Amino acid sequence: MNSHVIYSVKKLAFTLILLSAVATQAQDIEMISLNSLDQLIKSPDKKLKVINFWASWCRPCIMEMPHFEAIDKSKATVYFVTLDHPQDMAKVQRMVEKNGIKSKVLLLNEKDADKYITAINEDWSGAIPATLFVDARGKKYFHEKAFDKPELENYVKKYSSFNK
Amino acid sequence: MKRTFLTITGLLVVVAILFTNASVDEINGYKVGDYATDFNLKNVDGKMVSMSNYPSAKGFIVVFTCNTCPYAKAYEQRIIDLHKTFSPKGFPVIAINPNDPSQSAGDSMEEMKTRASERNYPFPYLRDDVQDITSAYGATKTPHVFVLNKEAAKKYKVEYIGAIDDSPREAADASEKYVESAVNALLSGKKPTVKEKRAIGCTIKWKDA
Repeated sequence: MNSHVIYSVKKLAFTLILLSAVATQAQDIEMISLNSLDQLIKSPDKKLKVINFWASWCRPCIMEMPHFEAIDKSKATVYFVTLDHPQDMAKVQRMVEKNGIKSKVLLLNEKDADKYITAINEDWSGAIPATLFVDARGKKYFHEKAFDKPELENYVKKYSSFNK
Repeated sequence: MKRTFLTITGLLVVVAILFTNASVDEINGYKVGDYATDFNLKNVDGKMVSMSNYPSAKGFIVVFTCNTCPYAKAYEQRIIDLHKTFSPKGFPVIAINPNDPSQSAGDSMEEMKTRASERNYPFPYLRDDVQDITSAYGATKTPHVFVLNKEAAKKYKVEYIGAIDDSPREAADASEKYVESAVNALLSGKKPTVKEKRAIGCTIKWKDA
């Protein structure tokens, strides 16, 4: 009887620990407006900002995610901005968890695609994946393409050379 | 002497301008107002298709699309509906799949045939194997639409470039139907008021250089 109670308590404690571990692991994905994204792009930073645009339905985006997650965080801050519809938040959350993404994930909650595409970069056709690099001087570099790991590392090295 | 120098300088400036424009066009493809080239590409039925095969057409809705992109699939029914609405009025849809099948197996001619027959495509679904038409038009993603107005034989003027409407996810949520409005304007002898609208889409799978 006693041992059974102890067992139950142990089991409960174990479950609680597990649950809290999962809770700390999963991040809350914040919805942001184009305005706040613009603020993020413009905000002064001592190091490079790497802002990757993706969507849960975009296979090449998902494939390059680990390369971005692997960026040396002493050189750059990585942001994943999803262009998914807010109703697909659960799908986004699943992708983020499945790929073990710890970097900040944001969902751009803006209906007018033409408006945000041109605002983020005049040369962006709207194809994803696409990535915006903002160096420590505030200079922007936009790449409408999928990266492999060495190529991304090269760009991070190049653009982070302006880190303060 | 001075005059010769001026003439040479002038010529150099002209050459520089021409060169700059040419290289810019090469990268960016067509702009609204440009004349689009005709093509001769293989359809899912094995026949070759050109715009010149449609002598009575008033224009074309050229859609770069594919089998594999979730956004292209979300628009599939809307592309079929565009053809059903506008083909009888003289603006048929011509769909072109630009993706390199070695990088996207789901976009091979065989897979295109399957998709076209399963979904009963009422329009030609062509493969741009060489990708020269795709780069000439400046398509960068799927779906990517070019509305062309046939001014005369072999004169296909680009009148609208970009998105089908403003709601990729749900057709019912669209408040602006860009392609539909553009074609309706052209049918009533007017210029489209919205000439270009960008949308999110899947990058075209280019052949390795």
